[in-house]
Amino acid sequence: MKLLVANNAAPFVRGGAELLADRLVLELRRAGHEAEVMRLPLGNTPEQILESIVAASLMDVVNVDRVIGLKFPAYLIPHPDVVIWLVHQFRQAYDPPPVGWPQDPSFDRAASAVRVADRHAFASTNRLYAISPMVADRLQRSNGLTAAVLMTPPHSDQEYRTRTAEDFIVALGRISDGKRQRLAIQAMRYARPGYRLVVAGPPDNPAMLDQVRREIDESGAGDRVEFIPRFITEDEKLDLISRCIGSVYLPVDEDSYGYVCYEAAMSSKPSVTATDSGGTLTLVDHGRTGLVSEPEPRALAAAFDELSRNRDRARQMGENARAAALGLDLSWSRVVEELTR
Amino acid sequence: MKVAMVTPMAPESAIADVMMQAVPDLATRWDLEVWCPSGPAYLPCPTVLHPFHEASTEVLSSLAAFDLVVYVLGDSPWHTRILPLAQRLPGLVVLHDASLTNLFRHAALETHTLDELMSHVERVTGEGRAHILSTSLVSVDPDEWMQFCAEVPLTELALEGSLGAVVHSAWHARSIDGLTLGHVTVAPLPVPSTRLSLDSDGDLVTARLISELPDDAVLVVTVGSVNHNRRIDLLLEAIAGDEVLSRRIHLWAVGPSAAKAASALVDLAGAFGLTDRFAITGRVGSPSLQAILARADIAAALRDPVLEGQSASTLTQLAAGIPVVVYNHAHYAELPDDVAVKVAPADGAAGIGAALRLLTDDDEGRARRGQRGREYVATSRSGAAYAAALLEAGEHATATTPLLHLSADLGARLRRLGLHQETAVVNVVTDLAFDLFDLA
Repeated sequence: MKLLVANNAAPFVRGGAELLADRLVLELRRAGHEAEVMRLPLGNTPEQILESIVAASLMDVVNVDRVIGLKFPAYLIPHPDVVIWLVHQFRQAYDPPPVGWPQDPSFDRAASAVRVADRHAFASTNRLYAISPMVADRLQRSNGLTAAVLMTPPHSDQEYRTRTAEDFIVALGRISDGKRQRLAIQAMRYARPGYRLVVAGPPDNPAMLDQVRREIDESGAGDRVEFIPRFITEDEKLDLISRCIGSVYLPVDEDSYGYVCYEAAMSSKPSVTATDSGGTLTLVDHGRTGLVSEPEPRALAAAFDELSRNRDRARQMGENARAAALGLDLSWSRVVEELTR
Repeated sequence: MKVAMVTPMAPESAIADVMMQAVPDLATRWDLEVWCPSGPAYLPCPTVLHPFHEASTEVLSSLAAFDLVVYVLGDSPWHTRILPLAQRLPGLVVLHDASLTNLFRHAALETHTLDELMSHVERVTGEGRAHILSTSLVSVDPDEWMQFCAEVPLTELALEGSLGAVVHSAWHARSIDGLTLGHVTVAPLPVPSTRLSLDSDGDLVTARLISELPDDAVLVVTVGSVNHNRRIDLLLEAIAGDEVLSRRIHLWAVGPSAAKAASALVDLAGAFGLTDRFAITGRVGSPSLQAILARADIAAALRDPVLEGQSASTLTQLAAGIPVVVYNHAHYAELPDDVAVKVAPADGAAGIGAALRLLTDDDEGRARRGQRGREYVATSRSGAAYAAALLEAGEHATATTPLLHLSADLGARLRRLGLHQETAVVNVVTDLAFDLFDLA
């Protein structure tokens, strides 16, 4: 088949959805299909959102057997054979602030258009999948639609390894407000001595870099927080995970199970996540595969302390986490089979 | 160019009358046929006349063979069988009324589609207003209904996808800006001809009234259905509130009226002490109307709200050399200042009284205005001038035809995602189309 993987695009932003689209195209080609990625611009202002909707609605795609839509507004493209693998809805149009837009007539008009277009696109698609139970639940709540859950396998194939835990907890991923690495740093004020926090990843912007540095200074735990503010290689990442006591990942209402949690689990390491982190709870079962904490510094410090103090329990949770990750049966061959059947 | 004009042709229809005034000139330039809803009788037609029983697919396919179809619409049941044709086969729409609410309500009741119409109204106006459409008009407050008609004119439903529109005032043109694909032409409505023959239960009344009218009386008339928006109540109040006016003026409401409304006005006149100076003639025939206009000194056309696109009756009065008192709004504001005395609606009875005094106290000035009004109509209104504007509108309309394809394509794409009812999205698409295709 000739398959068009349709994703949205914000210039110079490259995150999980972009990695997912690239990997999907690669896997589709491996399976013998012809596949391309097409990215549709999605702006931020209400006017830009409306223009994005119009651009998608008016598009003609030719020489394509099927469109696989991942994100808004790309899945609005008219085609007789559209399969949606929903990474997430355009949550600004659905959720209350601060995730959703503030009450404002111009935002209200854009939100209305998004919801109307979504409703029709979801209803007319040939098949509707969600990348996680969390996304499927949201879809059920907001649109009353049932999507089959087709979880995303990791974007890259890694040789995960496990080494004896050294005295640090690792916080990996893009440094941003949404991922709340600063909350983990604040927790180190209250953490017992005997271990460090290693924060590694590229900051979203220079301001974020300054904020994290200031946070470390103000925490009074500068000697216990190691900050690596850059993109780290896969080897560096796997090495850090393999030697840590556990991983901390604190996104807000994450759509998927969280690659950071998955990679920790595959390295037989437990994860600490927050009660409001959303999809990460797919893999982090409190007390069994990791610890789920309230999103506040003292509670997090207690979770860190627990992993540090009770290394045997942490190791056992790590092994449980790996079993849970394997149990998800995340395979690209299954994804390709579903999306092309 | 083969053109079909779809218009009422009932002898009682003033709209049919003015359209027929244009036909002779139109027929010199267009290969013109007139199509009309069938009825017991028709106005004389100077060209081929095709009555049709209903807006069937056969009629549509016949009309589709023309290069241009001109639909004539007004806010009355005479247009009910024309409306579905205009909505299904795009053409040039001649709008005689600024509000088509009565027409759409009537058509919806006939076709059992009132729920759809109410849904549209809810969408356009917000919740809570559409219920009036399902209420019997007998039980609705007439003021409330007229206000609703003015605020929810529903012209967008008649003009959607049309190739252009013809209206009869700049005010009306502004109010429909953006509702049609094509150009909006302001055409000079001719004065209805005097050959209109109406059922005339008021002729005997009129003869008596004229014979009993004192020679020195100043006769003020309003012409047309005695509706609530003619503000006859304010005229009575203005006359009663001025010693000179109450002594000199006789006020006649010339036209049919509902018994309840007539009774209320008679009671009001009594309360003001004007019983012997106020009369409602009922419907009058053409000879009686001419006799009244020949005797009348002043005409009043105080429409509020304004539901018609131009006032044929005001033009008739001006043609008769009678100065008119009008509200200074809507299309009335477009009358020349030396023809009409304009009153700010907010000035109420006091403003109307001042205007009447101006004309009552100055016989020469009144005559001057009357003469100027006659000249204004004579020089600006004719079947030929109306036909010239329709011909120009026809050229615009045929030039708009290619846009139909663009509109249909864009509309289909938006409908697929339910976005055709999202105004913000439609505006974006429209702006893009204007930019890309230089439509401005």
